[in-house]
Amino acid sequence: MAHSETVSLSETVSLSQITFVGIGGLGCPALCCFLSAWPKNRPLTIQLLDPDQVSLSNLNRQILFEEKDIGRAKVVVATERIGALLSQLPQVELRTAQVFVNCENVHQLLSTTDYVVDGTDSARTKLLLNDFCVAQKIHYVYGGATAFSGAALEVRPGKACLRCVFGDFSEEELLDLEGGCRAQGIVGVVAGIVGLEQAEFALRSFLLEASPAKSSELFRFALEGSRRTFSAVLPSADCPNHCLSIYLDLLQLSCPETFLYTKLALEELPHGVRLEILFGNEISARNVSRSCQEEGYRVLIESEPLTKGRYKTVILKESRAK
Amino acid sequence: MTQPSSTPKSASLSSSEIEKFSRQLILKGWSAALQLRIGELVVGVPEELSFATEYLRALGVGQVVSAERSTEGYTENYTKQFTEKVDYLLQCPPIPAADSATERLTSQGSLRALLSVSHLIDHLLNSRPKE
Repeated sequence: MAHSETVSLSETVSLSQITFVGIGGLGCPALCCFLSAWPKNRPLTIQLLDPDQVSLSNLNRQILFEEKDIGRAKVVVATERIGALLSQLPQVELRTAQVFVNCENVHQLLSTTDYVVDGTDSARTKLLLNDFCVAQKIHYVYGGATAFSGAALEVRPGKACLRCVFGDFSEEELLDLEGGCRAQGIVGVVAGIVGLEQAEFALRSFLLEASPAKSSELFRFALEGSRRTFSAVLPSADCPNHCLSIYLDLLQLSCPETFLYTKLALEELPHGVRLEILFGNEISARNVSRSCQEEGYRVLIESEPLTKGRYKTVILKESRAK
Repeated sequence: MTQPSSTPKSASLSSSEIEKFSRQLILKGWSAALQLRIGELVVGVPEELSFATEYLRALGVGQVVSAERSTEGYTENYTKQFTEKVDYLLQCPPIPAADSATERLTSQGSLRALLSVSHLIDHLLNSRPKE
């Protein structure tokens, strides 16, 4: 693909690192279109993360790969295929890792990134990325496509998120959603159009001055009639990431007092409210998280390291709590 | 005019093709017969829609014929010769109203190319023989 055009717009936002999680039907077009439009002399770090190897059934939509690539790591092949584009972008640094993003490594992999482009095909991973980015105030763009339609949602820090649009999910619903295109099929170009809009959203955040009042934006596409729509999305009061938060300072306490005060606070809270607790050490945060899980509460953030040796835990008191 | 891709015609899908196109063969309204028909198509791609070529190949289109515009643009004679050689000529779709208010940062050409492939698939699905 030729690096045929360069954007020359006001560059006022200081985002400098983007991560593409998943280099498949969404990630391939998103990556190509993003790089094709990136200004030649503007610095950027790109991180590509994907655990998979190329397989034959990928080839109806994953345009960076060919039959000769079957069995090779996607991040390796993708790096080769975008080589020509990268050679024209001397200020762009590329990092890759053949890795599956999960709750154990998400902090290590994404804590320094400014923007996450979600090209995964797992509902569980999408929610993990959404929740992590919301908590860390990282820009995130969701992409999803199955059968003849798809959607992209740009989640801006502090604005509506994936759970605000699609609601909360039970474990059973998450199981049903896993492997969407494997079960329901996919038209390759539908994924291509969604990936292109993900790139468009990302470029806008990197290259245009962001309006502080701007809400998250949802794009939908349906193949029948090639219908494309855009709409603004507002935070939902039912979303666990955007519902009312109560704060509890336990910095001076340790186990078992930390759990005792947490439990008393949770019992006092109405349903649909989340409790954000500050701890003075990691062991207390992890112990309280585990105990609350055993009590039936939903732990949104188990133990997030903050400055000065402090840790934050976030627990949602939802209607399913015992 | 160049002919960058060509696959042999066959009466049925091979096991390799079934695996390759498995994600679209399971779609409602898609069938092995439709996939074979796609495999026999010769699709013309104007230069400004060249990004579509990758998606046409991935779709399983039998032959993709690229038209390279001369410095004078597409002459009437050239266009006539070109359209006679193809079963379907990708059309440059108008950019939808949703995008008209803001300038796009990704290529307009890429978006048009992908929408033109979407139009082709919509056309194929709606014009397939009743089975």
